[in-house]
Amino acid sequence: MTTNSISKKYMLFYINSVKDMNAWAFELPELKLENVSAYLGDKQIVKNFSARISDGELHVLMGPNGSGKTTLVKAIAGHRAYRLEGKVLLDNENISNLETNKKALKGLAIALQEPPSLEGVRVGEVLIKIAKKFRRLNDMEVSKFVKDVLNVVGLDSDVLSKYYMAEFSGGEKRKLELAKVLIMNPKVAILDEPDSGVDIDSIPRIASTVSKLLSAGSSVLLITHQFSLFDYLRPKRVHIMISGEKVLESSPDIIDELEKEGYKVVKKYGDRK
Amino acid sequence: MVIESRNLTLMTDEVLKDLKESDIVEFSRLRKEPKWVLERRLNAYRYLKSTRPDPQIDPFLERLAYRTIIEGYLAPVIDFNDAVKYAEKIGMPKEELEMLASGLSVTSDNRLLKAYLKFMESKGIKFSSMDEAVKKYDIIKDYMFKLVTPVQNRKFAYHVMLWSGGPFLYMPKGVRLPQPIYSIFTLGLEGLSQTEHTLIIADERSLVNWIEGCVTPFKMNYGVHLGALEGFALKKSSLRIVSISNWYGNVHHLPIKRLMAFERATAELSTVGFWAKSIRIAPQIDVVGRFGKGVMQNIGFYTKDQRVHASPKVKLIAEDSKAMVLNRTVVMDEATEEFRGLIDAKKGARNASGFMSCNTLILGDRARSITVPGLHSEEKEVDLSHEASVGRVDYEKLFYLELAGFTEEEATWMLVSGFFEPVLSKLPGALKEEVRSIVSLALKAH
Repeated sequence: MTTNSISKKYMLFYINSVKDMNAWAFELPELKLENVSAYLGDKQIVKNFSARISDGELHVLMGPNGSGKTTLVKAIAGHRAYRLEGKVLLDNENISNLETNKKALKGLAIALQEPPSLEGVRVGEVLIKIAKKFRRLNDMEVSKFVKDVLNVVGLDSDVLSKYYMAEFSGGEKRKLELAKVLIMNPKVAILDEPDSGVDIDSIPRIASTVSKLLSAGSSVLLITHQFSLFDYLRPKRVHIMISGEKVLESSPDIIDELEKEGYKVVKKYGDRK
Repeated sequence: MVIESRNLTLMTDEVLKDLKESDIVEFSRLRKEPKWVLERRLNAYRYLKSTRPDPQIDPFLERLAYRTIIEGYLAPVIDFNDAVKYAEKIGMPKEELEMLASGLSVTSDNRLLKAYLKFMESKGIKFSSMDEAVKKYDIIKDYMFKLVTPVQNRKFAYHVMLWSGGPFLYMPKGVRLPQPIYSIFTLGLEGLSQTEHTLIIADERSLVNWIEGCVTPFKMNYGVHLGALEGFALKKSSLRIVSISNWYGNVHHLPIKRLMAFERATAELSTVGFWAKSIRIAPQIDVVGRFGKGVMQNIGFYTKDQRVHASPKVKLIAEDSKAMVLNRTVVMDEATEEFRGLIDAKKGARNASGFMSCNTLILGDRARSITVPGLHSEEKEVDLSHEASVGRVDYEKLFYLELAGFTEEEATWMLVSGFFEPVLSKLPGALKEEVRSIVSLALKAH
């Protein structure tokens, strides 16, 4: 189902009022991963990952370095290097075999952790083209819109004339990725460590960007190592992935313990279960 | 102006290699050229007769008949109304044509143009067609055919023997004209060769920005571009030339480009090459003055079964001279590119420095590129370096753009136009945007 932003706002109001209810009056964007496995050559990197990210909620995916989080993201997006098995359902439509750009047009936006530098390509050119693709704006409106979005993520509008990525620090790249996702107005956004390498002052900014996405009706899967983000954001569910397997899905209550004790709490939780 | 019909038939029926010395004399006489020009033509003719055919040059020219010469004589200028028709065909807006018309290969009664020419005249700028200039200005004698000599090789000899038309520009001492001067050359008749000769003299402390474009107004079965450009950047002057070529049909692009930079002068040649059946270019800049600088840049976009041989060369002869060669090309379909750049520091070029960078992007599986950067020095204290890369479009970059909803094709073109950007951004201000828009138009049209 396609939703426009006005009805999304209304829905959000509705969601807030009926939080934790199981029955929904409206259908909201939903990304369902069913037994998703990702292979690099013959090597299985992600094993049978399942999750349901829906209803304009924030989900968090955590796990130690090298546990396969980024691979999962790239495989879902359709990166050529990875082979994907299992189902990726966006609003109950299987999109796992679609081309990467079709997935984006269907409403799946992904912020990469390490975006490549695009030699000679200017930021303004790319962002404005994206805005034209995803938003119905005329030439006049589009540049103002893009500037506003840059403002939201905490970038000056002079970045528009800079070359894509080559002239940016790691933190600025992450912010640009967030801006891209905001412009794309997705049903579901997957943010791969938007907080790595950014300064402390930017953490609230990233949190507010994520809130902005949520309030626009997007469901968000956030991959992060930064516990300070949770001072500002309250996820609906926390998924924990270790060595390519999802070992735990929990309520956000686990976060405090996780911060204190590290991933060994997972075992404890497992025992408790 | 009456041309005897006898001559016309004679000339039309015979091919180049049967050309007689008396034909050259007759041709020159009809053109009312000064004696020294005829001498150069005859030198070239004799050189051609005394040397063996060059397999890289002669096959292209053998198919051309004397028509080349006679047409060049009969129609050295194109009527403005024709030019408007051409412009419509190649999709050029009329306003732009009015600017381009200032190349004087085109005659026009346009007022703006006339005012502009008057302004140039008031500054002492000499700007006319070569045909007139050889009769009018003595200064030409000291420069013309000094770099493109009749006896250097067969390509040069053919050009000197056959040349007709082309613009002449003399920028007087201390006159700096940052607005680019445009010229456009069109191949107007089937089976023609275009043999215009361009001579630009930038006198001391002057500044010249020159854009020339080569186009065909209609699809040609066979054509050869054998034009030449000689440019002199005298002491402390700055001469920047941008040459854009995009032919239609089976045109072989064999231009000659030679520049010379004197003391503290900058000679810059930027070439932008799109379609031509084959391209064979060997532009050269000689840096003969201390602290002189020679810059050669090329953007190429080669498609279909295009064959390209490019061997740009910067010769450093003076102390503290500088050279830069940048080459950025995209090769796709079944096109083949061979690039052999050379920075050559001669004896006496102490403290000279040079940098060469050649990067090629290959699209598809059947395109080929051979890149051979060359550095040569006869002096010890010379600093020469190069970097080169030949590669495909990085998948990670495509993936990244596809993530943002662009198709693979859209993403590829964005990356291709970005690939040219490092060269485009080095062009001087006024030229930068012009060339950028031409490149993006050409990419869009593809």
